[in-house]
Amino acid sequence: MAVEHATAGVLIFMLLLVLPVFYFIRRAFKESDLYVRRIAGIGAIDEAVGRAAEMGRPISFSTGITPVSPTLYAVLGVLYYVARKAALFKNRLILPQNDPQVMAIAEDVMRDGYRAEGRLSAFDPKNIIFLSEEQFAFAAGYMGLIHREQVATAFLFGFFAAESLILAEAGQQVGAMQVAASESPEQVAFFICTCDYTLIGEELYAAAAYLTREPVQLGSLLGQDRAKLVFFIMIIVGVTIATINSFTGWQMHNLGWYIRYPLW
Amino acid sequence: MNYRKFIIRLFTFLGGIYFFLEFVLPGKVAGVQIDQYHDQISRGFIVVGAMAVGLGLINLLMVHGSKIIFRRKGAINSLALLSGLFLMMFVSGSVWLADLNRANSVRKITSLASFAERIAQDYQIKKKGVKPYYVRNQLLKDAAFKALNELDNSVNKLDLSRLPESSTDSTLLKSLKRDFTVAMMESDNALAKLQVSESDKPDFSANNKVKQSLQTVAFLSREIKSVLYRYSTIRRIYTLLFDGLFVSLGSAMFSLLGFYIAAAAYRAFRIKSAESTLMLLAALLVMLGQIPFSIWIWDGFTDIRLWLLSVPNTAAFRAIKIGAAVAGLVMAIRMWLSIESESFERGTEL
Amino acid sequence: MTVINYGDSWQLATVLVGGIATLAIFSFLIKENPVYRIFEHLFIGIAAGFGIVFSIQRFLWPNIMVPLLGLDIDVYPDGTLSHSYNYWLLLYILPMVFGLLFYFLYSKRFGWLAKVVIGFQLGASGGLAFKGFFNEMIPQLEKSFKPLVVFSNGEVNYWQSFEHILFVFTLLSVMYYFFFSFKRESRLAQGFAGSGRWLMMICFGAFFGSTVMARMALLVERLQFLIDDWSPALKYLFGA
Repeated sequence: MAVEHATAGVLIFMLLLVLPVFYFIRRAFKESDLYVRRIAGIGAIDEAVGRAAEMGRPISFSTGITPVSPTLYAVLGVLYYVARKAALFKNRLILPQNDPQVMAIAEDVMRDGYRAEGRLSAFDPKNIIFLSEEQFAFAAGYMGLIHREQVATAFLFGFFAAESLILAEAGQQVGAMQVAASESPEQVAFFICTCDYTLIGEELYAAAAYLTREPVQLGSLLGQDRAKLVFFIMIIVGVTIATINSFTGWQMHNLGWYIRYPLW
Repeated sequence: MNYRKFIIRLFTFLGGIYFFLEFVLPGKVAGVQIDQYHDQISRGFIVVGAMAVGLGLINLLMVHGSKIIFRRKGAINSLALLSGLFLMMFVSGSVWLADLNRANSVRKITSLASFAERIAQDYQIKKKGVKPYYVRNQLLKDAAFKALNELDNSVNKLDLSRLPESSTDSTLLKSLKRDFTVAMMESDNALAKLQVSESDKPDFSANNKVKQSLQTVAFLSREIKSVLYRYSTIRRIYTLLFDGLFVSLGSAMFSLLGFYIAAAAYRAFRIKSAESTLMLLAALLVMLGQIPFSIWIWDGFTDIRLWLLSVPNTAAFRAIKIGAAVAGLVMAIRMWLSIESESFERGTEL
Repeated sequence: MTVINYGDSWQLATVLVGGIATLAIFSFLIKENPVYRIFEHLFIGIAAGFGIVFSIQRFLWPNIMVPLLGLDIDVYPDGTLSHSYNYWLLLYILPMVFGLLFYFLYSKRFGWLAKVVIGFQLGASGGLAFKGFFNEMIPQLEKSFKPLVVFSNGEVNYWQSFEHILFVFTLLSVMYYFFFSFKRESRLAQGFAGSGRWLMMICFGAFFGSTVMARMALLVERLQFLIDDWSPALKYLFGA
């Protein structure tokens, strides 16, 4: 049953999810040594960029078919980091694009990365290549581009659909080191089989925080963990209630009932 | 913060405020239905995004146009791209205009069909400021006979010889023409029964029959023209480009997945680590459960496949989706309230 | 196999071109080559051309332009109108003009105006996320409240109970794996997170396996087209 308008339960739930984020963002500005555990695939980003620099071949960073959305926002954090590294190592960074609006935003972020390293003169907007808005036309263009440019490293960060395997295989065929990140578990399965490192689900969102260690990003990450903890506890409570109901035959209302209960 | 950044942040906030309030507020606040115009407002938001339709076109023109003009490497490919683009735009546009023309050619008839219904409705609700029903019925009758005559002439003038004699479309067309003639006769009969005299007792079943018969005539006329249009040159070029190229290229790209999934499986499912062994086993069990021949080996594979997909698979997917959704929500809040990290703020020239 | 009239030159051409396009894409499997490149660019061009007309035809024209210009209003023989013009529709001009700001992307001086409308879209996406989140998550949460012990006909159903325990364990361990800011100092915590990772691998393997047939079916469809439709068309062309 859809939730058309927030009930009191939904509002409380929302506050429990959102308030920790604001709290930890504030805290991250004051404390610089907040703990974030090591995330395997993220360390590979530096390795991948370094490899491309050594080989003197370009890097490709694809946002897939990510539209203008929160996922894009997360991906841009990593793009900024990669752009800085590419500028530092004087490596060519190619951005094949699917959406003109995303292209505009990505171009800005990439330019900022080059500017931050003092290499704005090396930034070439022609490296941001619009291919197609159509899914498989984009995949066809990406395949051809990767082969012609002989990229050494390919980043696949964002939202992907059926074309994910095609994109990843294209990189495999040219011997590129590939780091992929998708929030969609369906595509992660394919990336695991074809890419060197894969970030699963929300590790995509954690990547920028881990790389840059900026207060806003770190604070968000810590707040997210507390929000997930709320879910974790709710599942334990809900399962407990369901188990008690099963044992005793009582028909206690579970948490979903309370969340949906219309007070007004 | 300079004024440009302020304006951008303000519009970012304004972009999200309606949907946020529409969700958090109850449906009705102080007697006002908050989501009364939700469809229209949502459509307005979609319109904003839809106006970006030309952005990709401009980019392609700039990049590939300059390659052609300055004869850079890849100019031939760019020429192919732009030729395909303009040809497809022209042909798709022409097909669309032809569709609109076909709809317009019967617009008079469909309009009269709705007029027939309107006469009955207005009488029943005793609408003021309109002519008496029998006067309106007479006007309907006169206009409908004239329009049907014009339509009949236009359909008779159509060149049906374009179609190959033995084709299924030719048979279809003959059948449609027969139905059209019958529908025309039914319309004439229905119109003749309309109540056009003041002394007639109001009975609007005749109006309903007129409406249905006119709608049938309009539908059949459109279908006849559609079948014929399929054999026009522009439509055939469109079919060549769409089915022959666009659909074929898309299907071919999609079918590459058949090759690539085998290559990926070969690479990934070698027993090089415990994790890959586990993945291999799970994939193998599910694949065996899907193929019909597995029952020759053991008939339990189907049940194992269903169990794997419904229990551990669902649970793990759900956990990943919960985490991603929470992270997405946090990111959405940051986006909406423009809580950006320094990496986006610093040095962003506006 | 579709019924193709090889005597109809257009149909023949469509099938022939379709087969050549398919083989051009398949040629990529050997190596990236000029034929693939031409068809890749053709594909992009045709997709772009089609996409533009499609979005105007399916959305902008019928839902916005037609009612805005009053083209859907019919004048009846007695002078009355099918419906009166809704002047509120003129408000759609505002988002249309606002959306035109996108095109300032190509201006160096006024490029920031494009960011206003992009920011607006980002904000809209953010605002929409709340409803989408709760509509997706609340049902998922409710479906996760499975009893760990299931009774049927007064007796413990061990198999279903095991399924539920495994389900909840998988769900919680995978969630725990994705906690980034909690230290996993104890062996229990490390084991719990580790089991989450193992269970995820089973999940990915199972999902991978479930898509193999579907992907193969796509390939079979294309090969069938080449064998059953294209090959006879080729034979017809060369008079066989």
